[in-house]
Amino acid sequence: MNAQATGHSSPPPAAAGTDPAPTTGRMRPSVLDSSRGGMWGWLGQRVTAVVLIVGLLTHIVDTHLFNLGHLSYLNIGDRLGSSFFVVIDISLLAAAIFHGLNGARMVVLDYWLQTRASRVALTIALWVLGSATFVYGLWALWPWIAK
Amino acid sequence: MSEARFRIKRFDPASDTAPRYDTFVVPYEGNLTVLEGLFSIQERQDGSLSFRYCCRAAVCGSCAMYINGRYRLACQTNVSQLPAGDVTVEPMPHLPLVRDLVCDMTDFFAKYEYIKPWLIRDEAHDPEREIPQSPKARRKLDMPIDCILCGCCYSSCPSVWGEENYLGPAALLKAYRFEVDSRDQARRERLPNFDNERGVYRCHTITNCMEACPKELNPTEGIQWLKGAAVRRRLFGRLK
Amino acid sequence: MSPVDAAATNVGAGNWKGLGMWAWLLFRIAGIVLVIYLFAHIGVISSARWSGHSTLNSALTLFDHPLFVLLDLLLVWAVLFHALNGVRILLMDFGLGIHRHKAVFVVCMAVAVVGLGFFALKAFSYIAAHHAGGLGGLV
Repeated sequence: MNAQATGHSSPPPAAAGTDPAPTTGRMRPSVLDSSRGGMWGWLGQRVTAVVLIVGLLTHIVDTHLFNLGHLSYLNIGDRLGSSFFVVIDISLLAAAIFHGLNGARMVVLDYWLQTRASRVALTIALWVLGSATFVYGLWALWPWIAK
Repeated sequence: MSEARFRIKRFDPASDTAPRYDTFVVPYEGNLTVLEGLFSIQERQDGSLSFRYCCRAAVCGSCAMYINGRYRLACQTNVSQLPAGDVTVEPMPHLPLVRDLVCDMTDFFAKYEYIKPWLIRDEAHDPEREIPQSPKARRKLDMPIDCILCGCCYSSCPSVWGEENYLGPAALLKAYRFEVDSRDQARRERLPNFDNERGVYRCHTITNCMEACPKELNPTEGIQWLKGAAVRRRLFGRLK
Repeated sequence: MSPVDAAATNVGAGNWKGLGMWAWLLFRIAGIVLVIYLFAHIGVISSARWSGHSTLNSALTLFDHPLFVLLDLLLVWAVLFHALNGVRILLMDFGLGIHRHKAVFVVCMAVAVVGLGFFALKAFSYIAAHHAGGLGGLV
């Protein structure tokens, strides 16, 4: 053994010739090894949270606080006619879809999907769903964007 | 001479079909800790009562139990501190049970081992003397180094309940203890083990661990620091 | 987990006392509600492109019904709770207020309640002005 008890770079070796102790544990180090990363999702959730707080405040205050009353295609269109709100609404659309689906992913992974393959499949499925929703949302806003 | 009534949750998976509560009256003079009460019951009333203990001084972390609805160390809980009435003793919630008050801590220690709980150093360049540390750098360790690995935070964490492979607050607090140590030279050796979807990112800052800790430590603070450290290192290339 | 296992492992024994636990649980529920609303919202707004302005306008008229205005208030609460507890979590991510997270929670919820009150005032005065005759016959 190293004389410096604090200095070893690897776990103390097990005594030679002994079998590993029988285990009742359910934790699998390989599952943890296959779960590396996750910073981008975490960071993205924080960044989109800030976008949503600022954007949603603008969105809700303008739609409902100053214009509360009967909404119609035309007065929504009036608001969307300004390029400022088009920018706000498009960034809101992207941020809300990312934040919502990434949040849903977090809930699902908290309780289900142990294997790496199933997690990757979920991530891909959510990216496809999110991208499709974003494109669909852009299509819905297009008459006002193109104006 | 005073008396304390203990209500103890009993269960032996090998022979019982359902848990039950047994009541014991323990006479005592002066002070009585819950652990002393358990000793007395085991010696004089029911030798089959199972529980873990070791140091009796709140430094080994063996006797963590759920006493009157709170996580406590049996050895540092004085019966007179508890509200009047029965002393209800249960095993730590949400952990696999071995018997009576003894929980299976296999996963807990496997996760502790997973975060490499030792100082990682470039041994080839280590001096032939002690590695100095300034008092200021040492003060950063004051909180996490007091962890005695009793498992209370681990048992209280909803993220642990839902996922058997989540590292949990205790292991992550230990990762913090070594990462924040000025003598530790780990670059990428420990990072992927806590910067992990079943590591720090499974912590949703629920803060149950802070409520549970009988040493009044703050695992959440350590985990939050680790998340920041992961971003600093991955995004800005900082080594430490 | 079987009932015997659940009782043996002491599942759920009194862990529901911490404020942070409730904050997290309601945060999560509000989040799930908001994801569902997000997709419904995109669906409603996009209906104008499928079948013309009249579909959207009739949907918007339906949403003027007091029942929907009250549901809007629930939605506002979900947004405010999720946003302001989110602010608390963001602060904790920067290492701020971890020791005082309960006080931060109280302050955040005070702001949320003020916000909700503001919208409630608007909503009820709107209902009073437009539907003074009660809830009937509006759909």
